[in-house]
Amino acid sequence: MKRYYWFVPILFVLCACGGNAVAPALGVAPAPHPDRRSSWISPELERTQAPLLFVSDAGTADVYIYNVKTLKLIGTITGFAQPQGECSDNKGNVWVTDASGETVYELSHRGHLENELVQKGATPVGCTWDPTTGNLAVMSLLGVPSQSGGVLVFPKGVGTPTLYTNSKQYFYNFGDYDAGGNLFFDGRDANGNFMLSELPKGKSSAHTVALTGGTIYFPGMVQWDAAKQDFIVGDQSCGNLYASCVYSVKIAGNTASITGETKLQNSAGGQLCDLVQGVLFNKELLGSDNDFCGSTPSATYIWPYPGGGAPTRYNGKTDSVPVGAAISR
Amino acid sequence: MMTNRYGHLFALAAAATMLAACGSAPMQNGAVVPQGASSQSRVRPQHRSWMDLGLAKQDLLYVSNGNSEVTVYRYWQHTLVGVLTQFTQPKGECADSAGNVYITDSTAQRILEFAHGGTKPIKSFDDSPDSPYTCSIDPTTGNLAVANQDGTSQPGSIAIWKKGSSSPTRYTDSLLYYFEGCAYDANGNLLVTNGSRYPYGTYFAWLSKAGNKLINITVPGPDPSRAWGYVQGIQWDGKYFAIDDYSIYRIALIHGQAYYVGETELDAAGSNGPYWIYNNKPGTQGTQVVGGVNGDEDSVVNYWHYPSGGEPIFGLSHGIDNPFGVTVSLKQQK
Repeated sequence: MKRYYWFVPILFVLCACGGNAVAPALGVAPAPHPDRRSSWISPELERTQAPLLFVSDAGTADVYIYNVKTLKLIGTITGFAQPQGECSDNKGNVWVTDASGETVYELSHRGHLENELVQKGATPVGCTWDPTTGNLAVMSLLGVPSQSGGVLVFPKGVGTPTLYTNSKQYFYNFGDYDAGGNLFFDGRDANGNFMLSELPKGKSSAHTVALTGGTIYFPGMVQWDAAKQDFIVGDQSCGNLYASCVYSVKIAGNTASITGETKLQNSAGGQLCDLVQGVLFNKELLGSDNDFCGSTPSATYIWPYPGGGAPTRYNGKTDSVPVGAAISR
Repeated sequence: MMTNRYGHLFALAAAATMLAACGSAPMQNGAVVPQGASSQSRVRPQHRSWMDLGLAKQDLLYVSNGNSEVTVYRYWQHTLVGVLTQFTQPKGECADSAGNVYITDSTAQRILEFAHGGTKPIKSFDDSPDSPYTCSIDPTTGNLAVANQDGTSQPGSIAIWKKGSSSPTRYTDSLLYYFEGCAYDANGNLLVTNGSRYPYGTYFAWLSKAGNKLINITVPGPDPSRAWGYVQGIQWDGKYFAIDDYSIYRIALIHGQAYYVGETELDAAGSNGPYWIYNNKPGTQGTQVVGGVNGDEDSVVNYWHYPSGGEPIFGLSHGIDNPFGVTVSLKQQK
């Protein structure tokens, strides 16, 4: 008869990651599975007040911390199971969703663990923080309450969440609040078709927002662009190919209109393979390319936005399967 | 192993005796079967392949047995309707949407393709110098992917024959080293595993539809603190990948990332080879799972509901001898 045995306990070393830098590895080779290394923080990270870029990597199960200006790696937080999308609040704390860990971790500006929200049965893959209320919305790809996903809203980022769903949506990916506290999130229906939904502020259920002006094939990032008063919505299968781009999307009532497209190039000048979740910051788009297409190594990039095109800076030495990005100010 | 050998010798002797003692009636493709023998009595394999006529409108279950024969049954009636004998060591099986069946023959280093209900191979895929273990058909292209153990050209490989091609493209992976499971999803992405061979760990990789290399991928189970222990195969259930590790674990593969979906617990499980998920409606999730079970004394092929699992809904033992791979060839629509 078969034997059924699970083993290999994960060494969770997320806490107590402050202190002196302890060694390993700028420019480590991509690992195919969690690397089991210890967290480390550089002296630069210990003292900096500059904005930082946090990038989650599901391949190594780590979160990398970069200097935004140089994209130099200045810290690595380890011990996650499957880190996914990220978001940040006005204190500079960064939330990291962990899909198979069924947990959302709150990290400080210097990478210290501040809090964790365990939600058994959920598959957290994206999050956003509401500046109007302080609530944290977490997108669960699947599993809440049955096989379809949902949005879990944690009041003030703590405690017991409230579940919100759109009955027509099955997979839930990424989302963001607009200036009025309305939550927009993307995903797919049960047949795999792209969906954009809105949870209006104060409402108990979400509804579908019709997309016009183009086609988005596979849900990517969603971020409110305060300057343009519209959303950036990513497509991980731009043109129905293994390629990524982002769109400017204007909301009017229950309709979302694509008003512009930003094409993104990798370091070789080719179209980006897979930008899962980027982040807009100071007229630049920051994010990583999970290059399973094989044209270039996976890397973290910065592009001008909305111009796009060739990256202005990149770091191709660290990433394995990069997923989420967030800015800590 | 000894049981299999003796079983095979006994089978040959029995078949020879029956052929000598009885008259015979012609069957499909010139095969013969003893006159007066009912399907239920045709347990022992014979020298030549045989198959009942009139099976085009029947879903057929194919079972690779340890006695090197492949037995064929009406899927719903559970009756033996044929035996294929062209193998030295049949292993994993797969079927395409047209009902063609592909059966890996490990020591012969080839894969034989049969039409639905046919007794003679319509194509042979030369896999030498590797040892084929199991297979999957890309529903978007008709390409054949074969998971090869190490064979004589260490390490193993994933060999893919483009539809109509006579030679494969081979993919290797230094982490997995050898391959014991592979399955395409509905979009033509291939998930592969090295299975469970001791003392190595179980690893996974995927080949995207447009990809040109295997990429290692972490596949989470129900508990992140535990690792895969006894993976016997991978199937596509019409909605998710289904990983056979005693229970069946459903996995969503999304742009190179795997997400745990759920578990189907199977009572009285114990397969030595990959299960097969019965699915007669493309685009929907399969409704039953079938797999061979080698008990201490008896061998059976069990049917379970899917994805609910639980107790077997039927146990098929007639003609079963140390079963390994199974597949279902769906009835022909025309």
